[in-house]
Amino acid sequence: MDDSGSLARAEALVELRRYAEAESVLGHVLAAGPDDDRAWCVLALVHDGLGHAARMLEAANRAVALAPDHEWGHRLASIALARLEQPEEAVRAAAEAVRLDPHGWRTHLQYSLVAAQVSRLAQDAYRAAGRAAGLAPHSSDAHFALGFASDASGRHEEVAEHYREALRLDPEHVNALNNLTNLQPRTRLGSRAAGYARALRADPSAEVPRENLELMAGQFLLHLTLLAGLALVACAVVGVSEDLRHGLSPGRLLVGALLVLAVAGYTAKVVRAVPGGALRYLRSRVVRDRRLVVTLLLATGSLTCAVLAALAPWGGSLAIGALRPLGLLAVVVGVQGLVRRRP
Amino acid sequence: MTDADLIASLQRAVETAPEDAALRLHLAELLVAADRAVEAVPHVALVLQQDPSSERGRTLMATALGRPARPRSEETGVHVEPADIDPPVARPPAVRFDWSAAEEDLGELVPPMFADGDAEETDGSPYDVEVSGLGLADVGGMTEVKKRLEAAFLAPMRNPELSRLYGKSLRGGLLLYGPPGCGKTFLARALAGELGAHFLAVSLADVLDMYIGQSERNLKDLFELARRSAPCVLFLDEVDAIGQKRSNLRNSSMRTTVNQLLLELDSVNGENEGVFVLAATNHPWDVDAALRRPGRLDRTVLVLPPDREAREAVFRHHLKDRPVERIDVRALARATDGFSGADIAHACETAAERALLDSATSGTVRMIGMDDLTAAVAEVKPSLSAWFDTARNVALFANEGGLYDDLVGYLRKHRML
Repeated sequence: MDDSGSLARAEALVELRRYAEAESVLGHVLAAGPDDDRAWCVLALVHDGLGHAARMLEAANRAVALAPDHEWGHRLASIALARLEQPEEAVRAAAEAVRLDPHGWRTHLQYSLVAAQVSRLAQDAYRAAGRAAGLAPHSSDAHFALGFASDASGRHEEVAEHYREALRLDPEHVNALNNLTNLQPRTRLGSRAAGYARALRADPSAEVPRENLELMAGQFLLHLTLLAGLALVACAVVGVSEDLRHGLSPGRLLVGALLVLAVAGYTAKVVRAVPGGALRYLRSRVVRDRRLVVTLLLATGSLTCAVLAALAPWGGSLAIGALRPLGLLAVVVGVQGLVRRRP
Repeated sequence: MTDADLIASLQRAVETAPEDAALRLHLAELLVAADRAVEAVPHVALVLQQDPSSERGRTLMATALGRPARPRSEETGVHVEPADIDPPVARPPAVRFDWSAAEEDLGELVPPMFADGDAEETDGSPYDVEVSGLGLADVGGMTEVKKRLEAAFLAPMRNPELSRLYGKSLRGGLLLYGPPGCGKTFLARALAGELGAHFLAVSLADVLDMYIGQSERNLKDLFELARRSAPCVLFLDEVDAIGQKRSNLRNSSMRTTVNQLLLELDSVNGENEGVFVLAATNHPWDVDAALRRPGRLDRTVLVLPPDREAREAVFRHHLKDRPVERIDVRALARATDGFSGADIAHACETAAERALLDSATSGTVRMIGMDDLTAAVAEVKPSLSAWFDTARNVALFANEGGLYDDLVGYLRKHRML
């Protein structure tokens, strides 16, 4: 097989995600012709598939050095730089690719994706995504980029529409599934967890929806902590005016009953919405992830304290004396968690 | 009395008098003479354990292990240095046969094979159709898999009338999936043997071609060959590569290859008798869903890492042609839970290397012992964890319609889920 045939074979192997075999074929191609810029580009794709961003950049730079007038090397360098979290350099490389091929939708797409991560270029990103979608209206990636850039440039009202269009074209577009789920109200934990689980069904190895699913578990536990904190505060308030000689007061009993009902109802609602596999995954994560373990302990401790404060005869003074600071702490931690951990 | 009878009598005698070195050596000589050198080796090894200076034993051991005996060093009384084991022998330089010259010499004497003189184009298919001599009985252990294969594939194929009576369709193929190195290809060959069919294995390399349209043509040719060779098991190895999910493919020529595969599978069912399609993959989740629809690869069997019985069989298979002594295969099988067949083969290879290196260093040929294998098993790490990580994600998030219930069951049983 001649070198062009081998290169075509390597490209097909990359497409089939058989990166190790493709790398082996490319080794022969590059040994026979080390000045083949296209082969270096394909090698960059191989390294990307294997998760080696630095090597991908190296191969892309070789391609650029050999053929500075070809857009592909610049575009691949931009992807590698974005993976290496160097957004400014990634934008520069993508801009060069656009300059060399202003009529190629992929160059505009890449520019849009990296520019959207640099706040001062958000409007440019939106325009570039629009051009990409205009040149390739059939591409789910282009519509995804348009949604991503819309979000970055503050056009929140049209974000969901673009993601939905991407999903219409490719129902298994993992990033669109994930980002569309991110748009749901933060209080709808069950529905959001189900959305991330849908993204994981499309690609079970995807990292971002998995992390978001774990965040949902953390947020659920923090919500329980928040409920417990509120119950503790309520018990403390009721306890101030209690006559301890009369044991349980109706006020604390009411707080306790409301707490139990709220926790049970909320848990049932969330659990019902989450698919079984995702629940099993979260159960296994809760005992292995240190952050989730701490959150679980906090939630369990707070709930136990709240129930004792509400239902034990001495609960009122317990709430006033010892649990009030803990309740406040739980509220602070819970609110902080809600504010900080939005995916 | 035949040699075999004599050997059997001597074996009984040796069992009765295990300390009788002369008897044992005589038996070993007969075994070597009967081309049963592997059986002779343990007997000679025992004699050499009792009397390491036995010249007859040393000579016999060398013969049994397939190389000439060497003299001992008279001065030191120890074995000669390893460097002298195989002294270089001056040989005349190799002279290659000059095919070109021969063709020129004979060119005018021998007429061309075919009238148009183009032997290559009219030569048969470039693909090999084999006759499998294996059967499911040759597959060690894996009782559950064999049962499933029998129920899902073999019984209906063997009893077409009964299948018709019960309304069981004979259409469709079988997809074997599971971690790499666990015997899917071997099982496919065994199935071909059970059916008494030819075996045609197809891999990505047989199909993938750089020229547009050629990959589809290759597929068509392979299916045509299978039809001509009927009854034939057409085995699509790594079907996730040939039949990748089309949504993953941006290259239109790869998509058309998948379309061609679908077309061929449908026509196999519609037009041809006696072509059984088996496919294997490590990544069933990457296989295009259309390939798994009824009438195509609609039956799936999970091929898991070998069970204890199968591991014993794999150890025996990989050790049977090697000089081994006192190997407790059961203990090895117990110690290798979670190993694939390929991992076990690697462990046997490692143990052989260890014994070889030791023999080369010491200058004393020794057998592969249990210590070698235990050390090798400790050294070789099971290679399946990456596959199970992915499989676990699939079982958790993508088990739509119970597609991977077998896998879920296995993962739960082994506390991986």
